[in-house]
Amino acid sequence: MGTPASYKWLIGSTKTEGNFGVAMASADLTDWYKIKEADFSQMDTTFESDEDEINGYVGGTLYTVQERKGTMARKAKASIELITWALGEMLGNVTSSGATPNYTQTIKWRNVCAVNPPSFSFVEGEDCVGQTATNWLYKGVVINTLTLEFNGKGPGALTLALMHDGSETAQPSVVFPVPAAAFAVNKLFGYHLTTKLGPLGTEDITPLLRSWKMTINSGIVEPPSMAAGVLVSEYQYGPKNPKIDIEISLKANKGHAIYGYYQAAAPTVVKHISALTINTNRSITLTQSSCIVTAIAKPSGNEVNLDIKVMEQHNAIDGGPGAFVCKTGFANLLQNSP
Amino acid sequence: MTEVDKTSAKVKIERVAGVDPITQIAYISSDRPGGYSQWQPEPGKDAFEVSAELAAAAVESGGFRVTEDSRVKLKPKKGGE
Repeated sequence: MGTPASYKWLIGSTKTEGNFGVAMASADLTDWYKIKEADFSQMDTTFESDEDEINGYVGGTLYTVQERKGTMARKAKASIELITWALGEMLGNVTSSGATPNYTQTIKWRNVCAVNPPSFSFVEGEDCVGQTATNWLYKGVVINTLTLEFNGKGPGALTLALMHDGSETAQPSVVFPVPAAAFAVNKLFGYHLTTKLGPLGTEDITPLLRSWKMTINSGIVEPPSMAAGVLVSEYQYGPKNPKIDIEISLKANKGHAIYGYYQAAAPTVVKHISALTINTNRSITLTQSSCIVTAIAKPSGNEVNLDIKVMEQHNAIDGGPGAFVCKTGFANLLQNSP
Repeated sequence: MTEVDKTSAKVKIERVAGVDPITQIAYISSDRPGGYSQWQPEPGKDAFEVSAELAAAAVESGGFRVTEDSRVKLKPKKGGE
């Protein structure tokens, strides 16, 4: 018998589908990242019925599958590797450099001419004896939203909302890694985060941080398609997406300079830099060279907090509303598979 | 500053010495409209002949420059500079 605790999923950290919906090679789907919940992939089916026709009965009788697509969530403890993979798969605009074992991925916003996000495949299943019929491959997968949250010193929470093309392909022969062979990651905790926010971008507010949350939304849309079959044939970025929102809770009140940036008749343009650093070779840094903040004061226990929202401002320096520099062990991302 | 002639079929580029070697570049290609193409330059190799689209992205990365014989048709700057 399978169990939720036996749930595993396999991706290819440095791989992507060469063409949307064409499954990646099984040999490239070997990286098991630990996640927190057995969020089984869901298949959503749109049925067409004849209930709007006079069919000799009351209500719908005949059902035809009109379309299939799917969704799933991934909740994981934040790590440099999983975040970098997700950012690459969301934005696609990756430049990598470096040499073994230390590489740098510079990930920028999608080019104005880019319509389709990268897509990938993955395998999931219940890794128990006799349960190979629970092993399925999903393809045409895109990441719709990424949320990364830190509260205090604890581990970061990474949540991904994924969409697939609606197909499920049996993978009875897949072999999942044993527990000791889970993909090695550098886990991120609240104490790894440093944040600078101000007109110069050097104003360090790290000692005042209470919580920090980043949301990137691709606003994925599925254009109406008449392509053969019932599966999704294309996912696109939503218009004016992806968007990035940063929400910061700070031990500060209306006397803090940041409130002044917001309060000014002409709100002060600020620079935001947040870095998650384990060491000089393993880190993720978000730079937003130009942005506006809003600030709301509220009580929190015995202190006053400022709830700050960083509003994105596309700019030439970042080539968008922000740019990520990820220092990892990945020589490159998004290599076509097969 | 060197600009890539995007009308050229092939452009020769070479690695810039002294910077971290580029291992991957994403670029918009006419072969793959709507999405990014990815290029992984061969490690240890310094000179490449690539499409103009890729050459433009490679130069922008800072890790490559256009070789002398491919440095053609620089656009004149406004104001006669």
